[in-house]
Amino acid sequence: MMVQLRKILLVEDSRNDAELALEALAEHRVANEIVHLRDGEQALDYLYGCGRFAGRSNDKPACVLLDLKMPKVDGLEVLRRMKGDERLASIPVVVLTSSREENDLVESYKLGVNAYVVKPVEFRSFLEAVRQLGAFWAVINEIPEGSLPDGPR
Amino acid sequence: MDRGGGVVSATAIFVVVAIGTVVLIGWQLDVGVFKALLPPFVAMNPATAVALILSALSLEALRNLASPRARIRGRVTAVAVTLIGALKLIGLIAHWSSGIDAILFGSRLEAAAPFPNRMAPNTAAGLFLAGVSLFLLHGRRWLRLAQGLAFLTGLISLTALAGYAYGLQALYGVSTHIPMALQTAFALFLLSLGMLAVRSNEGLMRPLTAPGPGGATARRLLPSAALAALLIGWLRLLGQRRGLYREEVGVALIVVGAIALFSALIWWNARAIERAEAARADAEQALRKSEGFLESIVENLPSMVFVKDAEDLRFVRFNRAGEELMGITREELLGKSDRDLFPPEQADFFIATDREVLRGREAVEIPQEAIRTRHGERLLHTRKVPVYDENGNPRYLLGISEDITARRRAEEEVQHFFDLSLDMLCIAGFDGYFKRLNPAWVRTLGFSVEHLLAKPFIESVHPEDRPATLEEATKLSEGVQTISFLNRYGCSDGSYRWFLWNATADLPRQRIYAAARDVTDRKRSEEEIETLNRELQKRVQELAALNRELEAFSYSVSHDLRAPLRHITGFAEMLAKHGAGTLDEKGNRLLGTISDSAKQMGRLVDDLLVFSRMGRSAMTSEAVALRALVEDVRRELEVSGEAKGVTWAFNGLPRVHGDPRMLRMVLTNLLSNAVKYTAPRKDPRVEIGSFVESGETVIFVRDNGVGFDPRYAHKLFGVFQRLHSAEEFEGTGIGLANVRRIIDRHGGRTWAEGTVGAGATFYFSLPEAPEVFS
Repeated sequence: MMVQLRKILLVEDSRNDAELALEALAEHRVANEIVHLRDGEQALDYLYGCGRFAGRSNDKPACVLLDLKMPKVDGLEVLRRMKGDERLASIPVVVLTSSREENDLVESYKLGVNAYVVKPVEFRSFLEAVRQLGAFWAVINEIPEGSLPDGPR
Repeated sequence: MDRGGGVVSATAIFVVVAIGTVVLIGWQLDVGVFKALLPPFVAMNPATAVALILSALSLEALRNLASPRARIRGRVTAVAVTLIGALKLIGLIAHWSSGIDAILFGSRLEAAAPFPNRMAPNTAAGLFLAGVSLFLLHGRRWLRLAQGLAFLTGLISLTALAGYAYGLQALYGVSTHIPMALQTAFALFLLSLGMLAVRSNEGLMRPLTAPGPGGATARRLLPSAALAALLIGWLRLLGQRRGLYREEVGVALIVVGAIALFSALIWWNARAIERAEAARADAEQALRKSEGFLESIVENLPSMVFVKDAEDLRFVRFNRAGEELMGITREELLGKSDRDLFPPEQADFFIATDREVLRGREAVEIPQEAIRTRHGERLLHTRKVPVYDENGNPRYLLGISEDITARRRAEEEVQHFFDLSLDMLCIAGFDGYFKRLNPAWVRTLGFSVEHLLAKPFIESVHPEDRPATLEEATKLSEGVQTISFLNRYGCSDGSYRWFLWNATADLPRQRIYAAARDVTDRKRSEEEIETLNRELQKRVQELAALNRELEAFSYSVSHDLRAPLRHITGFAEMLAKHGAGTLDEKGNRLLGTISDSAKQMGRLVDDLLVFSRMGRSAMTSEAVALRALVEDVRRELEVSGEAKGVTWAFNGLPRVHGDPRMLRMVLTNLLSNAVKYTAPRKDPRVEIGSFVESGETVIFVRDNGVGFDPRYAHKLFGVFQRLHSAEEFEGTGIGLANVRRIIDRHGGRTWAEGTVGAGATFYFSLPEAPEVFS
């Protein structure tokens, strides 16, 4: 039986960016299932198994690719919640953003982000960045089992 | 009448009256002893006794010359005595009996043994002389005659006394007449002494009573010589009577004795004079000494001292300070008067004051008088004092003058500043009133000085400021200085002006000295500045808000503007991949152009963001080693492959002060520019160096590249300003704008030189001293 790869969460409000990211991940043959969430609220619902995702099995994602600028709950807020919750803190978070503002970078690292990638304009560079991320976080890093919080079933 | 004379005359009066009275009592009661002392002696005639008493009374009247009644009494009695003597004398000469000496006790006179008692001729002569003398003594004119007659009286009585003493009746009796009684002789002698003594300070007696050595000699010699003569005579007679020697021998002895005795007297007298002289000389020397002492005090006084004769007001004395002050020696001055020395009206003034002092008999103070000296005009403070002689008459005029020119000049100088001062100056008393105000008060407040002096100063102060002002005044009176105290004073137009005070107090004199500056205008401008500052503060806040908006905007730009670009390139690439094989060459080229344009726009956005951040981001200031920084940038350029085959030259790159990150950006820009524009050259060369010029460190980057048209040099540092097309040289046109912005923020300047085809030099300067950057 084949090893069930854990999912990768892609939290991205831009459909185009999401498509490019998925294309890039596919390009690099990342085999994990990609869960695309459109904003911070969905991400939190997913992680805590509530709202739309009530009753979801509590498997932990391999990593979270997080955009910063999103409607409703923004990326920094999601990051703060995750790193502030010991059950979620161990999930690697990669901030994927268009923002070159130093403040965002500094704030993200303060909150305990694992990687910060500025989305380059050139697609080729973007591919390269994603490739490295995929190789590093999805494949090599193993996350301890059974540490996702129980959502309402 | 001196004291000795008074005693002599009083004694004479008393004794003579006593003798006369006793004799009269003797006649009345027939007591022999009272009349004639001893039996063989003749008795005194009662008329003689009366005459003697009368003459004593006349003499008594002389002792009180000032009383007119006494003078009349004295003269009447004197006439009576003269008449008694005269009547008797006339009777004797004319062999006619006036009976004057037989009026009283007539019977008893006749019964007297051995013959009737009558007044002796010499007694009559003595009484006559005494009467005339006494009468004259009451007058003014015949004093010397009177005294001569008195002396003659004395000689008559003395002859009689000598007769009694030597036992020679010839001396007290005259031929066959009755002799002078012993008491009479004695009384007459005393009377003559009293007459000589009673006005002993005048006439013939003057030399005898004079205080000098002459008087002293006379007083000493006269009685002793008289006594000595009497004594010698007596001794001679005594010896002769006892038969010790003959008459001739007696004469020889008397001569020798007289010589001896008078020699002794003269020696004694000479010694006395000698001693008196020595004492006088001592006293004189002492006086000279004390005069010398005074002289040296007067000479060395710092004030001018002069003495003028009270009569003609000529200078008789002048001291050294005077010589120096007037510029005139005492030889030139002494003996002259003010008229010889000063202009007429001035001399008149001095003389008038002098006369006033002498007339008024008191010192006069002249607080300020101008006087012309050889050193120019001087101001004197003079005191003039009258000096009197022993009789209390003005003898000299003493003047003491102090030169107050310098003091007065200093006062005038201070007064000038006082009048000129733009600040208000005043002296106030602890009683709350101004004592003195300078003209600035009138100029500033519009009130007259009199108006301000007339009321307590606190009434001029703004009611709101009065408590604080009074508190400050109280502190001043306790010795605390006032520094920068503010209050408001009312002006004549009803407005108030702000005064800034400094003050100090003189506690013993109860005075406050204060200076006030009108700071109304300053306060107004301070308030204006305050308002402006508040407005500025508001602007700054507005600006900060704007800045925040701008930041939010650039955040959006950085995020939202880049996203579509990224999508364009991403999807173009995906399309290229997806359509590989189906797209022809043109299709591929079009896709490539879309992608390139999007990339170019991405770079523009990025550079713009950097540029805008450059203007806003915080700056540090630290020492930066330029050399190391330049090396670092060069390495980067070489690594990236941009700077291929470039010859580098670095010289004199110092340490500067600035933000290292920003300076790095400056150098990166300039060096990559240099590399970029030298690329077409076969031997590209970039030189980086520095020099110091007027307080600035100037750093330059020189290349031998394509250069530029110097006409457009001013456009180089503008945003999006390019002198070359993007086809020739890549670039967004923001790099040099960034350089300028960074250097501006460091307080430096940027400029460039170049010619087309002959390379370019870019300069930037940094201030030598590190500035405080905002």
